[in-house]
Amino acid sequence: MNVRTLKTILWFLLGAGLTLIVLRIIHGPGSVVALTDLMPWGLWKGGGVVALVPIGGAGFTLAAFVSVFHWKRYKPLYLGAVLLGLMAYSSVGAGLTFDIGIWWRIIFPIWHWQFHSTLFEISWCIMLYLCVLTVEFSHTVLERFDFHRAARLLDKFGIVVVIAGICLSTLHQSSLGTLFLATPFRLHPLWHTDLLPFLFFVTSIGLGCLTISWVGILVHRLYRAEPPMDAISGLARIAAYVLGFYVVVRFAGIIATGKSGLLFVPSWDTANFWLEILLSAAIPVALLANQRFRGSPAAMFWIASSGILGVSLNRINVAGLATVSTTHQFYLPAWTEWTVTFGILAGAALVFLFCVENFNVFEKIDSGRLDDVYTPRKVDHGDWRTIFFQNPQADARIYSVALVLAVGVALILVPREAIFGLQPEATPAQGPRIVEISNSEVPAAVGVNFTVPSVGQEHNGGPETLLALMIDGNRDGDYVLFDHEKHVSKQGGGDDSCVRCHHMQKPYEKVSECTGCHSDMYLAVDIFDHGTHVEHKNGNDGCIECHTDPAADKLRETAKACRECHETMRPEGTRVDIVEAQQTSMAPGYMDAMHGACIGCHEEEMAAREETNGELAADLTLCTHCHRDLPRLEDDVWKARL
Amino acid sequence: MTFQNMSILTDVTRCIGCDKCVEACRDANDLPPDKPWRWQRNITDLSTSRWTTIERVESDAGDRFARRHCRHCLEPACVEACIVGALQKTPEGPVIYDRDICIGCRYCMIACPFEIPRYSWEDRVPYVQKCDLCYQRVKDEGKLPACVEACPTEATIFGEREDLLKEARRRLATEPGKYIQRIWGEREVGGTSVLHISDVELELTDLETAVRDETPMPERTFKVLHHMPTVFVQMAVVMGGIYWVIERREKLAAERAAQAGEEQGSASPDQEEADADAVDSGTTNGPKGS
Repeated sequence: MNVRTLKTILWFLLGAGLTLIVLRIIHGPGSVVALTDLMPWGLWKGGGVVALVPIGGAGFTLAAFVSVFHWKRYKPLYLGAVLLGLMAYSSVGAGLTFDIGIWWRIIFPIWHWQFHSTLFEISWCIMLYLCVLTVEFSHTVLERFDFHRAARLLDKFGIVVVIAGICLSTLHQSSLGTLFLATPFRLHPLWHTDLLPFLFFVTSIGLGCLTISWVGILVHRLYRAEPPMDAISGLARIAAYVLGFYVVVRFAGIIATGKSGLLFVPSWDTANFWLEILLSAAIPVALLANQRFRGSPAAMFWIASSGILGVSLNRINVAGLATVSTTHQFYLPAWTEWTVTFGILAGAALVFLFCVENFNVFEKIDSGRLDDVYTPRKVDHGDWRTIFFQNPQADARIYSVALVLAVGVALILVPREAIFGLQPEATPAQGPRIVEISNSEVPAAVGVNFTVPSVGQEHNGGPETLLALMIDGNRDGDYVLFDHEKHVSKQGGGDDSCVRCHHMQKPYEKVSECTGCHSDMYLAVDIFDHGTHVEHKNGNDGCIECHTDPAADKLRETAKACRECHETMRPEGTRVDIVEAQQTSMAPGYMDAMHGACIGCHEEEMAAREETNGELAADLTLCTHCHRDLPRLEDDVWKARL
Repeated sequence: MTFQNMSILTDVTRCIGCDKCVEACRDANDLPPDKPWRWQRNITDLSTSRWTTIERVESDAGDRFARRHCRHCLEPACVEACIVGALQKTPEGPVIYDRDICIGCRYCMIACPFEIPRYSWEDRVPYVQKCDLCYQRVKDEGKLPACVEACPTEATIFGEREDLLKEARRRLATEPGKYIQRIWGEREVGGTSVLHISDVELELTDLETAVRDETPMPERTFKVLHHMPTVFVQMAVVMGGIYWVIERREKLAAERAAQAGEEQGSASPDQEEADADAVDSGTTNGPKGS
């Protein structure tokens, strides 16, 4: 791929990511993530931290090889690895900042100490290691700007810093595994093992070798230079040994703890496990054993890709994917989460490429090579495309357009809640259905006992069957059977009895059904239509008719009560208690309305019964009096009826 | 009032599922009304508006109601996990939360074996929320926890853990046929302050795997974590040692080469390679830093 094309894509991703980050800052993480209480860690933690830290493991691995072991063969990749580490850890820091709920508190661990927390240890290691990486890389930067004395000063402490970096990495790479020792009840047993810290550390070394090889090949190809295959093939051999060792230890652990049976249980988790082993260890180890593959840039690129994918999958599994079978939370990261992650990674990649171009990171990518890649073609003034794309400022122009375009595209595509904040989900309430049931009346102590007759028995028209209302507002199958006839007679029968419960009527209706106003199962709904009223009252001239006090703010609360005009709306004699002063034309949710209408009455009735019947009275106020243990809707008795 | 270990015992056989405790909790803690947010499976699940909830347990013996809320573990995983110490186990027993220092990492939600802490995803500045056993209310005002006070059937009672365990054992012994002979919370993960007795099996978690293991959660991570300072020093010594040895070897090799060069005019490549056998690649041109 062309450097320009790649950078354009990266700038685009960065623009989209930044937009989403701004929205996340404004409305909180809940507006852009798809996480739940049972799956509180998602892409940003599992992918952006747990999987990205071992990718940055290239830094300490190469530091150990080159600076401590003096394996000079790997020197050509050393600075690249440090830079890769620096970029990976910076991305981790950025990602984590926006993942945590209160982003400006990311620095709190610096002074709120909690030595027992694994996360506390990891956060400190990462903070310190970021400093180490900066120092390790700053040598080149200082040389580039001719601060030779400062560079030499750094050299004096160089090895101390390098060794500190290796120790810090050992700690936090393994501690990322320790984190998940705390989740024995969530994590699938094939992944949850006491060896997690050790396995995480070992794989971070193998992965470090593979990532710097992968990046090395990619970047050299990008700038049309020859990748340092001698160093890469050496790293490949080490990676093969390390990942081979890892897979042996992993299986030994599984067998030693008696979990080998799980390896062959046909399940989603088992398939996931084998895929992970295949990508992270089996493919790399098998192919890297062949010297021909180790020496070939193309083969190495694909083998390293497999290893990186596999080990990342391992981290993502441990951090969440392998907990799905216990949490039953099928979390898929929202595209907004992907955008933020890719935006941060794109930013890191751009900085990486900038450093590669401007500092002496890879020997073979020097200014001569860059001239070759970036040579501006001749501008043909007759063709607008060459004017735009080929003149000296063309690159900056193209990248700016990509960035701005990305902001626009992201803003157009983001979900509603990312712009306006989160709203509870609407649950439209539906009216009751009429069902035929049988009724066996037993003394008052038990109340009315509903049973659902078997299918063959229906329509016998006998006195024991009756029509009842099946109240199931959200149609989730948790219903209440309501004997409407009986309640009518309890309220005295006749037309007057309706209004006892049907407490409000829509204009021109005598009895409005409940769902007419209480149209959402749980949420209060606004039932006042301002537009219609404005139209009826001849536009702005009519404001004063409802907003009677011209001096007061024009609010619901200060407006005239609906009843003053709609005299028939609120019939006399209703039992339902509406406090006029608080009447803001908001209808409570269907569930609250139902409970409000029934329970008050039941309590009164109960008090009255207790006086006459004493202890014998069935408790009308219990939930179970209405919410009975009746057949589920999936049961055959209902299937045939509904 | 002073307490050694404030605890709650819930007798599932006495609970009628009236939700009075839920409403009392909502009033006492100023919680908002339940709303169907995206992340809730049921509106009656534990949530930021329900620090306690009643879960219906279906069994052959009929439906039962089990009240769920924070278990206030004797050795809490969330307290161990918290990166800044926003969650604390008080000397009186309850596990309390300091919203002024919580950064929102949500590790407590991952670590809790009972899946209790909930997150106010709906807020711009979200916080972790869970039952605090009405810590301030009990300690400062000398009242009972709101849920216990509201319970019409004494299905849930409050007291010292030892007393409640005695009471639970007494109930199990008086009616051995009625109860399952087990006190939920007596020993799981090192014991919890919230105890349940029941005549049907209880899960008390949102996970597939109910908690039966008795290992305290903090042990699981700290047994590794407390080695970390040692590991750091060991690694530093090993790396420093290797560096020193190789550096010295190379230095000596270079000196010898220089000496041989003075004597013979040029260094023999064979000798040089033999000296530098620890070095992976061939040529050594004197010491070289990072």
